[in-house]
Amino acid sequence: MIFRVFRYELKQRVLHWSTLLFYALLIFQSLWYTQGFFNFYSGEDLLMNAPIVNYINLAGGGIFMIIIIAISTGTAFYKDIQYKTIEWVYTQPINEKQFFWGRFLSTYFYNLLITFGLVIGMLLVPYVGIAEAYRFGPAPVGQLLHGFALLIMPNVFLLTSMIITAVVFTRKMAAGYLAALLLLVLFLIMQITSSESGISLPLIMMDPFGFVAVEEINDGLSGLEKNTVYLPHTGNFMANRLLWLGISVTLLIVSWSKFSYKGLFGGTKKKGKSNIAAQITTKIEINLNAVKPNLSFKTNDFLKKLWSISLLEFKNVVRPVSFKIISGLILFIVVVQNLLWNASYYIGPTFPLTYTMTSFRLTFGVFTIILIMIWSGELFFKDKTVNIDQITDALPVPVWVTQLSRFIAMSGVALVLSIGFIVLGIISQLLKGDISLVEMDLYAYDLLSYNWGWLTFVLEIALVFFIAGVTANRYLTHVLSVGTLFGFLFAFELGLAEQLRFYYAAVPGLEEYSEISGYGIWTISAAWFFFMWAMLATAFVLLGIYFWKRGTTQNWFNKLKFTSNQLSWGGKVAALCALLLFFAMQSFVVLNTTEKGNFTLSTEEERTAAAYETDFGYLKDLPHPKYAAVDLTFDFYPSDRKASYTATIDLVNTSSSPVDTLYFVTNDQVDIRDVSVSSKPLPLSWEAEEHHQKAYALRSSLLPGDTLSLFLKAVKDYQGFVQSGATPQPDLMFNGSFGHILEFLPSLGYKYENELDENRERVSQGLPRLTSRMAEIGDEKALQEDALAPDALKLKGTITVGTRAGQIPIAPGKLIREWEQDGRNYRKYQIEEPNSFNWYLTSSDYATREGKVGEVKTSILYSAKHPFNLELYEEALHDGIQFVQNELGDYPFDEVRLLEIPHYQDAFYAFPNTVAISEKEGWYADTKGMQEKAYIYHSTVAQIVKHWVHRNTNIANVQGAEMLSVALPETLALQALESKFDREAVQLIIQKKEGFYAKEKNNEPNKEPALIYADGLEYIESGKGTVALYRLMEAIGYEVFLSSFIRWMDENVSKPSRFVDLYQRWLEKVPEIEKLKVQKLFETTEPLTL
Amino acid sequence: MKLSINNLSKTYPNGVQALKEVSLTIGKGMYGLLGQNGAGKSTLMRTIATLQDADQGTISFNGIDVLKQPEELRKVLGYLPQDFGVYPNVSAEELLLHIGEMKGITQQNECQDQVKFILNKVNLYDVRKKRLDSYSGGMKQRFGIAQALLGDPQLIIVDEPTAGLDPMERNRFYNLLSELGENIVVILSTHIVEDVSTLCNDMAIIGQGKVLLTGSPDEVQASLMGKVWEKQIEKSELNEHYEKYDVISNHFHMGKMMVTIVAEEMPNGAFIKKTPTLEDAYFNLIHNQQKTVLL
Repeated sequence: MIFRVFRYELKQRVLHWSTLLFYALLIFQSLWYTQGFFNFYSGEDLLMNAPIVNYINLAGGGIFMIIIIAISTGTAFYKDIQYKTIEWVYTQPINEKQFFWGRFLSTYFYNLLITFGLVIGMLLVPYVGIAEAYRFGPAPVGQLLHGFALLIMPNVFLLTSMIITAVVFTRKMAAGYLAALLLLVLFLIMQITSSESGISLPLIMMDPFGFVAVEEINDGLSGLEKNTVYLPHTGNFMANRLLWLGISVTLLIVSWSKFSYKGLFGGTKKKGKSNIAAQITTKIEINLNAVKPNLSFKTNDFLKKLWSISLLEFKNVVRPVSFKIISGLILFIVVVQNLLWNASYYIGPTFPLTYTMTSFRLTFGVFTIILIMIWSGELFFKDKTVNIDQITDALPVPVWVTQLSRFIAMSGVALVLSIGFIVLGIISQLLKGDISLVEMDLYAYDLLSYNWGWLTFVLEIALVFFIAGVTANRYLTHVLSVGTLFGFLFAFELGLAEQLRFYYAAVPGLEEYSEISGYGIWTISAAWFFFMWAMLATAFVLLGIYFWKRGTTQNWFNKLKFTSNQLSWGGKVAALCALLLFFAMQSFVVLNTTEKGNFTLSTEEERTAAAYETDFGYLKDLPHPKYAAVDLTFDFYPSDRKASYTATIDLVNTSSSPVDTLYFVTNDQVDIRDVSVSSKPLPLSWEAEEHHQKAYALRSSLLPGDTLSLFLKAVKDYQGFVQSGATPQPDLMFNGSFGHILEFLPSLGYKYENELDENRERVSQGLPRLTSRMAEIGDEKALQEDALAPDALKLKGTITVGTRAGQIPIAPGKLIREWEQDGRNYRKYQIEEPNSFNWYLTSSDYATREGKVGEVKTSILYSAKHPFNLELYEEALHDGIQFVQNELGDYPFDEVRLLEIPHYQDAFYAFPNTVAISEKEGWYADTKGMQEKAYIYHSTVAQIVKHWVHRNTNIANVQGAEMLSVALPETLALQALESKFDREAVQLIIQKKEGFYAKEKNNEPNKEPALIYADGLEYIESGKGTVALYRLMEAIGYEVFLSSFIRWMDENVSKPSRFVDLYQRWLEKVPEIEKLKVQKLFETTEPLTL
Repeated sequence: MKLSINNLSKTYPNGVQALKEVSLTIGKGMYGLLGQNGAGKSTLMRTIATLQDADQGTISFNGIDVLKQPEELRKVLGYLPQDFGVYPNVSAEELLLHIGEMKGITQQNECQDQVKFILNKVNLYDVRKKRLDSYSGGMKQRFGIAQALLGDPQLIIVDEPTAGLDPMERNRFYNLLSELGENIVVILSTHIVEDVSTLCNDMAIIGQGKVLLTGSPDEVQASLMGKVWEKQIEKSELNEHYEKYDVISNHFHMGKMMVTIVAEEMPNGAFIKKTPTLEDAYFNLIHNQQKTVLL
């Protein structure tokens, strides 16, 4: 019997036209995802059809696969209810349990058959022209079948079991879709959270499709392994597979035991129903003439009705128990996330800031939108679903009243949810004990506006409204609505699309919130984007009314008749105007983003970078002068995101050849207004606008060793606004500006930072591969450069910096004067001793905490919203200075500032008299635990140690430079940490760095260098480098480690310092038994687990 | 008050021609539309009720061009479709108030009064607060009737309205329709001949999308006067009778097979003359139409 049911069902399905469509969709998904995943993982040797890409692709599931399985599986068990065949099919002499197995097996087998389309798609990848031939290796057939068995078969089994269980228990197709959706959302939450906050065991185990587990394996693979690997049948991956297989089997058994004909037929009738007829006894007599109503069909009446009907429709949505359960579940998850799983992306738990209460929407928002889309679709088709449409369609109410009332009702439902989120956020903050952190304006912006909040939901409802009108089909509306959302989501997530102006309802800057800068320029971008989408949504709503057909639609093309009276002429004109405005806004966005230089496509960026290297590479071989002294007057205009400045610069020719031309490379948006020598402007010889490269002819050559005093006047002025893919332009913000000096002043000669440094990009642009991102250790020219500022000598300088009232202007150097003038704040700083030219300029609204340790004045400038860990920071600052003085020598400054800066750039900066630490690196961390406390203490002390190291060494701009400038100070700070706390605190930091290195090493875009050739990526120097130096320090002892370092420094006071030389000095001290181990650690790319 | 249908035709995309140049004039009172399943009755009803487009032809009601001004017709229309559902989570009273409002009743108290009145008329008053998904099939049908009566309809179209009603409710509904039919146009579409003969003063029979006959039930019956004959036979004789006579119907009576034939004169002594009924006229029409098709 089982076989007969199986055979019949399978035959019916396989021969249906939809099978071909499903196959085509899955093949397309395969090609689409393969390209996306390949682009996402950046290894230069990674093949596009590498087994790991295929495994990840198979584990990723994909929207098409999930939708197809939901349709295929739900239909198999629901069709007898839907087509009312249940009454005769289930009266046949078939054992119901055997019938269940027959249906299940045929469905599962069919699902496997169509999902094999994914494998076919992957095999076709090399032949469809999406990349050059050299990107493909031999077809990994074995791994594909292996992945199919390990990932697709159990995942399809899970989806099939889950959907069947939902349909069997509820007798509703929608429940089947919801079940599939739940799995999808669970997967998305695990996937996104793991990519944001790192992979952890709970995330691996809770991911239903095994994606996070595959990612974990991927993180541990070398480039070669990725191209050949078979996923191991061990560890977390297998634990995940077994767990979800167990859940699938359990679900199947539960649904099997529940399945019965009677159950599907509807079971017992509700209590009380049979008594209703008996209650009909009362007779009331009303005079027929007295109840003749007055009818009115004026527009005013319809407008009044719109409100009352909307209210009724609203009640229709919120009244069912299913709505209450689902929305309750959503709100519960939000509370749990806010209370337990909150924004610990950086260093650990945080104080309950409002932004951490609204950030759940970034991952969970997709789920909320999907639910709102489904509820909307259900509401728009409610009449057709319950088959009352023939009555309601014949009522004398215009379509715009009935449909618009539903749109309003759904918007109301979304508003209630959004307000619920706000209330729960505030309650969470209360429960966590700090109501003072409630920021209602941020709640309103994040959760009620278009920032993935209520207005976003409204835009999505409008989309569903439109699709419903066009398709006139409930299921198709659900599929297209959710499919459109996921299409956008995946296309942007995988980098297949970049311009947010093509992502309906999305606004830029969602994830760019800074506690210091707010959303900055993104608020302006977002407002314009929203206006653009609002126009499209308006057109959607009007066209939704226009296309919505009352009664039985026979001919789709009849809907397109312009003379249709479904929408009034006023409505048609309004729709047209809205569409025109939308397209006008698209142009406006292009003008303000692309045309004004705020956004460039990554392909265009690559092309430009390659062209720069090709066209201006010759400048590398020309002599260029260096900055030798700078006297800067700098004015911030934060409200305009503008700065104007003048500088008197001493340029010195350190080369052996005369210099007759000055080559300037400026950053985007910098407008040099005047370049003069001795009050005479220098003539501009040529300019390459695309590359911001200019050449000025000197009137007389600058001879070797000579110095030139140059006057420069310039303005940097950001105009327009940004969109996705662009930085928030952090050097000039409304609040919290923080920019490197060369964001404003020109680089001299050739700008190496403009080159492409990822080999995959270089090869695709026809450039040779890089063997290292830094100059080799023997490069004579680079040895003469300061690694911290290759364009300059160590120099002195004065900086006068001004900003608007309410903000404090900050620059490197000792503060020698501060004053107010014309409602603006000014400060003058002086750099008294030669220091590296790694200057940064800041303007922000700060609170200040002053202190002193010995003769050194300290100050902490922080956001007034974050007073939480000031004592710890101050303690670390003071201890750091004392550590330097006790262990290394005089601390180089008699005053030092610690700044809290926005998180848009690096996490830590150390430059003259100043340490800057990103807001996310501890300022609002909850430091009850040792890990967070140790992290703040260690990272702060490390910056102070950097001050000493940077000042007392001439770190050459060659491989290994950051081992000296970053890893060494961090290693020494570990010693301070151990003195302050204990060895356990040190181990916590070491473990964190080991984890960081293990994760990031496999995202290495080129080839990982050995530590002595480290070429400037954080995971190498700060990650592996610090751990390796600490092990070295343990091997030879702290005293030997330190004394060897200081002696080596003393011997090289005026020479360029290379890490490889210091390493050799230490290596001599390593006991023979340990030497090989240390050499492997520093001289090879062996992993840290040696 | 008149509904005029002229040359109405409709062909579905699958090629089925549901209406073929249908022309009817329907005045005040009850009008019966009789036809087999698939004859085109529901297509005609839906087209009059503004729920479906026609390929050609016109429909007008009291000066309203129904196909061009559907919104105008809806203001005076009460429509009970053949098959309909209800919102599960609302009560009858709540949904009727909602529909009343949609039908243009702007005063809340008027709407409430009329809803009460109609609920009483269809015998649902006592259960008006119950959720509609707890209603039986007959109660839902009465709810459907109630909504069609709401407002002040001048044209009521009821498609198979008595399906699922017990005899008592069916009578109650007949009385209600008769009462309403005194002043307005009521179209009753059905395949139950008795409904038409009981209620309608005018009627049409539709077959395969065409109007086969129009007139009053009496006229239709009278057209066969003296031509209908009946005979009791054995079951085994049925085929033989079909071959020899114009058999328009057969049925069992007290366990015996009876055949009804149409003939100008008594075929033989075994037959007895029968007073023609509307059902005989209906069967005769269908029989003739099938013969035409076979020829």
